[in-house]
Amino acid sequence: MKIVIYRHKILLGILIVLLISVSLISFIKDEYSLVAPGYNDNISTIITVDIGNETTGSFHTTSVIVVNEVSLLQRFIADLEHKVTLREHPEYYDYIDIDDLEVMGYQMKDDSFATSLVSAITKTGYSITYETYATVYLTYTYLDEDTLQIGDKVISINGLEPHEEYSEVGCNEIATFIVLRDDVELIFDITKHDLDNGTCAFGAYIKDYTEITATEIEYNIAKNNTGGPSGGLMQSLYIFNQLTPNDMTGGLMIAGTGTINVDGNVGKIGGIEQKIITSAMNNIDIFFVPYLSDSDTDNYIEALRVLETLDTDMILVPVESLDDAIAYLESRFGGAFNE
Amino acid sequence: MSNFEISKIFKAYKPLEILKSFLTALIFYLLLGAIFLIPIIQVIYLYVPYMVYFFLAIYTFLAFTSVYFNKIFIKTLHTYNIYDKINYDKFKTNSSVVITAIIFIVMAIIYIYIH
Repeated sequence: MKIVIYRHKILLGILIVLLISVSLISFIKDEYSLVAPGYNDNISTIITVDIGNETTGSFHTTSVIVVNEVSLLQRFIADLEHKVTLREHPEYYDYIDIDDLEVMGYQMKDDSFATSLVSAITKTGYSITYETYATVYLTYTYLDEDTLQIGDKVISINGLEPHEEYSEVGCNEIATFIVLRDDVELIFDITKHDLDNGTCAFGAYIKDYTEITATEIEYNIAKNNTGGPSGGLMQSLYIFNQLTPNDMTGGLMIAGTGTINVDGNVGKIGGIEQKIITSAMNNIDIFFVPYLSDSDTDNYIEALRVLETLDTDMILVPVESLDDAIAYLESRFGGAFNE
Repeated sequence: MSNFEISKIFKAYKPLEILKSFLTALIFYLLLGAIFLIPIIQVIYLYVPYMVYFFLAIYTFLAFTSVYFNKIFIKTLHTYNIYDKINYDKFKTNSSVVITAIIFIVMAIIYIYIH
């Protein structure tokens, strides 16, 4: 063994130096994140509905790859690759555990499944009931220790409705939070801190989370590795199409993006450039995108700019709501409730 | 891998000699593999739609590296002794085929799991 190693000592030395070099550029992180093209998931592999009608086409969510802390190598390549967006860490990254972003993403995904089911099932006339709670999605390093955690349901702040009272509490004041954690009620006194940037905050990002309490539709949601709420619109469309007699896919591959709330309103998403690129590469026929304003940063306006640079026949359809998306498909493939 | 050649090796050499030869070859294999795989895995994140081509490249590289693995393995065995009754070239060829097949199966499982 020693003889062979000795005979190859120069080669071994070169390999070790190379290994150290590639390890350094691959494992040293930079304060940038990137968004890269991902994939289109067929929603039928994620959500199954017991009353599901047959379809000739398919609905797809559009996922992008997000790397929250890029390596030196990734940053170098992202700088050269026009399909990848590189951006500096926003200021709030200094105040969070970056790994919590993934947890938040999965929680948002779960919420989007619930809002998709509610918005779609409500439209079909089947029964569904749900509850919405103010929930902790992210905590910051300046949050008082041993208090809120991601997933906590915030029942009240100072005995009042959480969203309203949150902004009413003054800087450096202490508020009493009543939360539910694993069905156990906990009470925390938390200070609203005066931050360096002139704002005040408790140190927790609180947003609504929807849970379905009852429905006459049996459904199943498979686990997958994607996070985030941007699949809401397409999930709703898929579920609606499954529960209505007429197949509105027309045999086409239909994708899109956009959050959905329980009222069926579509919300803005991130990574639209990479989602358009991803869908064009996967031969998507119709792509639904949120159109909420005429600003340059609106998802639809940005999507149009990207689409012009691609060689694709993909049709971009701007929508503000689930109703808009359904109306478009009905105009092409017939009414959803037509037998 | 021919059981005939491998069993001759196991009969001819001491277990410690075989182990040391294997470890020597493994050092080179792991070094070469890591130098290639570590940056490739980083780059895959930027080119997920082209993942299948990266998998092909990884498979090809590991397959060729397995040939070098066998070369080092035999070279190390030779430092202990050389036996005329063992066809070392035949062993290298067959061993490379087996290792390449194992790599293919592992890569296929990983690819299917990811998708």
